[in-house]
Amino acid sequence: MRVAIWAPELTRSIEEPRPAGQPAANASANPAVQPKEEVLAEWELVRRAQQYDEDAIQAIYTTYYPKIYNYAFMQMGDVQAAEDLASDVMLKMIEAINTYKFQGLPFGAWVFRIARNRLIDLHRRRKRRGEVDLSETMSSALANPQVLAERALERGQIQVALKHLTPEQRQVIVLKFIEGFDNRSVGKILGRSEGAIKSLQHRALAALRRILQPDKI
Amino acid sequence: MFKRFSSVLDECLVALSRGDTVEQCLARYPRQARRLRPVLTLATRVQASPRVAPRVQAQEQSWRLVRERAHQLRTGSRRAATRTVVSAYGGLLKPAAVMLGAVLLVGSFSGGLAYASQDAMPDSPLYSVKLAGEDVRLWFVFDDTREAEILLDQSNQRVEEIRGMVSQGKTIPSNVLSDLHDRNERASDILAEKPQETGLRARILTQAQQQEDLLVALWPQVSDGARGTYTETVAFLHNTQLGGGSGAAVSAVRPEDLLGGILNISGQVQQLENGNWSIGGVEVNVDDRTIGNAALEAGASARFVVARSSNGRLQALSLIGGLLGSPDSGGSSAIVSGAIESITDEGITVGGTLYAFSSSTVRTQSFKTGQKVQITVQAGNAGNSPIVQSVKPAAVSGPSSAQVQAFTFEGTIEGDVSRSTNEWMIGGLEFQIADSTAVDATAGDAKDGARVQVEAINDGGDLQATRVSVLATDAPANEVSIIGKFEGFEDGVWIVAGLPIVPPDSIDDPELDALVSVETERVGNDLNATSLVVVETAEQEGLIRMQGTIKAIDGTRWTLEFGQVRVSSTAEVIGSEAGVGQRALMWSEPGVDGQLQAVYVRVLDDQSIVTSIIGNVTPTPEP
Repeated sequence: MRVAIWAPELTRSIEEPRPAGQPAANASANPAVQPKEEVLAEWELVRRAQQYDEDAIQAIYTTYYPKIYNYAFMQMGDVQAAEDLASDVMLKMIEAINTYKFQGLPFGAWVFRIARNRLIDLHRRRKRRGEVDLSETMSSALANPQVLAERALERGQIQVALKHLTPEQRQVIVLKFIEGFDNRSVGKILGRSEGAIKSLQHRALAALRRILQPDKI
Repeated sequence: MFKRFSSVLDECLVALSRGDTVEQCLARYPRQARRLRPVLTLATRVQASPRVAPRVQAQEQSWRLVRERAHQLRTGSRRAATRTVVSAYGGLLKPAAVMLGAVLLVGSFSGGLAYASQDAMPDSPLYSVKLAGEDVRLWFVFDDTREAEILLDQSNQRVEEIRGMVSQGKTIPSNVLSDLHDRNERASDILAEKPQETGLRARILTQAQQQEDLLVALWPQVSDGARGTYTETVAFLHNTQLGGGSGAAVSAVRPEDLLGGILNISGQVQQLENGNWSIGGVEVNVDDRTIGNAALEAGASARFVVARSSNGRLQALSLIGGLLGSPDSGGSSAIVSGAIESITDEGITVGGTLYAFSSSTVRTQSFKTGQKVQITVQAGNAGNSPIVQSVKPAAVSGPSSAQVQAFTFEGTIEGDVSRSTNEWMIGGLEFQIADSTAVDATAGDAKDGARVQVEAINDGGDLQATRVSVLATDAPANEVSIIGKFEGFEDGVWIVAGLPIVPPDSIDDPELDALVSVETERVGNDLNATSLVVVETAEQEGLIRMQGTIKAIDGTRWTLEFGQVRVSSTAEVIGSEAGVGQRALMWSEPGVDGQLQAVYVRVLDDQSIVTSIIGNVTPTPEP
């Protein structure tokens, strides 16, 4: 069984945006940076939710259910499965919210970590049962991936274009460019280092670009 | 200061998220602007892509469940009460609970299911439990360097599992390759943030090389469903070496570059006018993605591991063992086929000779005494004993009723083969260049008119070349020879290894299932036999087939890479007069004194092939 752990060793401060053109600061050389205001404000909301304040829980739910649904749909391409996963994650979130400890990262990173773990569980269960991975089916069914992916992007159906990426590349694209997490948060969600996320996002964008028609991007 | 492209890209993406334009980012990095522009443009398009909204009804239904659960927790259900107690003692109990959980978790993985899974192989239902246990171990490692070391240990464990699967004759599934790739990638990611860890970097590089060497040798053992994972894994290992320890090399091999298989090509290298290189006459892309290419010089001879893409394009992955003839070239290799007399962890005995295993020996299944195998041995330099490179089941040469028959063919290449990597026309027959064919062109380029020996199998009419060797001989193009099982006389022709041969009136039919060597003259599409030698009758079966380079001749005693053979007057010797540096194919049997005694010898080359290639040769003694 996979267990979602938000372990103390994951405690790190988030990175302040750098001035334009300046290189990334070495983490060890920049150990203490303050969390953003919206992160702190959200932490106040979470503290109320930890007391089971219904308004706070509803605010969190209203914020994160659509995000998790969107994330799940981008990964699985299946409305029903995405709804089930979003609902499951919301239940897990409320049951475990008392274990959440603020570590300077957005609360969303913790929620998405739960979602990512549930997604892995789901894939494993499906694989054990011999079910066909929907994303693979969709990918292989596309007669001309380049053209269809390009059309999908034009129509805003990015999930179709994402089917051609590896699961990890898909996760990075969604978390980084659609959900707007910074590298550190994406790293925590996926259990990877910040450097790995930089490299992954490069590979993911390069792969996405390869399947699109170069003259249109 | 040099900056990796992924870092430059990341900085631009951060700037874009703060409101900078693509043009402003490009202005800061003019040298990378050409690469950056399309990627940044794509990123902005993805960011602008609308979200997928959930259905209102589903969201409301889910909310009712969450609100109900929150109510239960608020009003003190059993589970909520437990949490409240934990919460009340917050700072004291939470770490304790985490530790207790950790202990229980680790404990659960140290007993029961985890214990049962610790020796699980990739085809076991418990294998995923084993991998999960390894992940759990990493959760409690707080030092990045230590974590990378453990990841590399676990990656090596995957290699042992792959060896184990192969040694049992099983194909390699994707799960073990995928986990090998994942752990290597995670270790590389850690290293990317710790450039000061030189020891770790050295270990990753060494390990990547060893793992790539093994995996490229095991291409035929990869299951069809795992080919995609295999190519990703090998590409990553290769790029790790190119990138000096990280998987992100500037010039990288792509997984799709390997989808057509892995070939071994050796021969003289020449640079072509179009910038590509020719290796033994075959056009191959040799560039900064080729490991060891710095040592390359036009006119030198070398062995290469070459990746073939699905459309037949060849990309040299690495130069094996330096230039041929150099001290680190590893010497020439030879092939010995026969029944196993004994096999231990130290080595394998065939024909009374013990061939020693090394740590890199590849065994493709669990072999037993009496089983027929093909052993590739590499001559050691400076008088070292030959070592076994690989052991695999001998190519099929069973009863004539078998669907697949192995045979040896000698003929002349017809047409340009420099760019045709799938089929070659040789001696009037079309041979498929399979996804693991070896091409030995050290004696001359593979080109129109070149004389070659082909080791092949006839699979229901499909002729698949497993090895093509260019010979140093100028035999007429219409002369073709075949060595294979005699399968009978049908409709006026002999059938040898599934191939029709027109028999002369003057020669009687050999016994069914005898191994025969037939010299033929090609007339139109017909192969007309001019002579036939029975190498081995069906009852005699048990001779040792050996092919190698003659290193010394002392009277009747010939020395080749695999040892010494007595070639007395009773042996049937075909071809040119033998000399040092020429290659020979022979069938032998142990004599009464234990010395191998040749029964049939075919001298393949008319003259010594480049003597610098084969290393330590002893001059032919004066008569």
